[in-house]
Amino acid sequence: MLLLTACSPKSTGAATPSATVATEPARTTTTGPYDIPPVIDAAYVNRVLAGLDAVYGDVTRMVVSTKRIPPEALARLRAIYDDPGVLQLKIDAIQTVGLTQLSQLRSNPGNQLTMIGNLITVRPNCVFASVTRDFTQVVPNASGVDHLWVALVPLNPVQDPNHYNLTAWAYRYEGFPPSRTQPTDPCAA
Amino acid sequence: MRRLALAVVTAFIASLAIISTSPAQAEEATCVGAFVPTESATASVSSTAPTAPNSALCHGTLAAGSSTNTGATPVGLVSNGGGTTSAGKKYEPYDKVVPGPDGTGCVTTGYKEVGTGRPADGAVPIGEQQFPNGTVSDPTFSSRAVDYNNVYQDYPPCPEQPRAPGEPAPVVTRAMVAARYWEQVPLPYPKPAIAPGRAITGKTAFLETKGEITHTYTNDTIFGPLQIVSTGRYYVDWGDGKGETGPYSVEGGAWPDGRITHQYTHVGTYNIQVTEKWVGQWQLGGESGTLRTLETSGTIANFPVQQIQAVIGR
Repeated sequence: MLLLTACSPKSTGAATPSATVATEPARTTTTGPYDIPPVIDAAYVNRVLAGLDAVYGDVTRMVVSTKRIPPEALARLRAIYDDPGVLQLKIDAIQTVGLTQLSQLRSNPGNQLTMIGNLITVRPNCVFASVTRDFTQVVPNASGVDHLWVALVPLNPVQDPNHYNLTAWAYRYEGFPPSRTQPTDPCAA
Repeated sequence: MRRLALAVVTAFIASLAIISTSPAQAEEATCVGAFVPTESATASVSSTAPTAPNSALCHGTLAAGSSTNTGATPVGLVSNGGGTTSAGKKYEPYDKVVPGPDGTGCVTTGYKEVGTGRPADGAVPIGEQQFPNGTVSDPTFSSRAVDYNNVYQDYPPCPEQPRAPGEPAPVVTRAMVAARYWEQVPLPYPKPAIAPGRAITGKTAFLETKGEITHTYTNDTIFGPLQIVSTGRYYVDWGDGKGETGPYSVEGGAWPDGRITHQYTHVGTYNIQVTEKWVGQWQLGGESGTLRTLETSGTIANFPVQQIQAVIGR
């Protein structure tokens, strides 16, 4: 039993992957935490999501400290949102909703914590998953988690000239329909 | 009779098609949160902030992964599980941040629902736009209520889009009028000099900026007289690799009273760059705000720094 535990993949807590597919064989040794592995699994996607959460955490802290959306924050948003429409929606949400929420946040907020709930589609160039998002480090006394969906695609370097996003990925989709049912799979196109 | 039956069947099938496509269209809307949970936990959290009863924003027509950013993306709806129609609502313009084509931001006119602060779902009919004095034909509008984050402190106005003949002018806010004027005013620029045209190593050089540190601009606008008070601060790169000095909020003067000074260590020729960073404070129609920082600069090219050596004569 001890041997099995030692050989098992690292536990990812809430992660319960339902789909993994093999990508192309690695041609070089992968050393970076975000290098795309031969098999994209929940552990890897959780690592990527944590990296994206860290960038958004920087955005949150900038907005909290300035009570505005400074250009540095906009550059970071652009680095993690691949789709222009999703990026604009996020900016609008921060500008019209988020700026009214600042009094609810911690004075020095940490990062939101996004974790895989279910990997729905996994391809080397697109990952679609349901996720949970924990705001404990952002909002005091936050209870429960949000349930939403994310689609990740390889980061276009043009979107991030300052290298704020250390992961190789960006959000093509992030959110939920008003019905809170699973949205159309962006990776299916 | 057969044709009539066919028409009825066709109409029935068409109605089914409409019914069946409605849910799919509804699913294309996307909602996102900003900083706080959007689900049940939100209720207790948001109860302390009655001005923000809903914590997410929904885009009414967004198809995941297929949208384009035009700078006027239709965004709207309230959240927490349901959409609303715009019927019977009033919308007011606000200064909306959008990413420009080059990735930097700019500000354009968006609409948000009066009383909630939520962006409108798509284009707002003229009849639903709220303007001062009860008129809907006024192409201009502004409200203190919408100026809650002074976006022009960080971003320029987006370039004006060409309009078709007869198309009404886009709604503008007072802040936008001020920002547009700020972007085109001829700001003073420094014309630096160091007398007598050279410096000596180890001796203090006095930089004369020969510019202005404050300037007031006025302009007649559709809202009335606009006033922008600009204030400049100097920063000096002396060209010797020791970094920039500043800010200086005074004009640099000549020896012996000048307050922008430097001592060079090594002989050589240096390119001295004087940058003046300008902040604008605008006032228009009872409103005011801060405008983004602009820069002007002047240089002294190939400025000679020499050395004095004592020579003992025999």
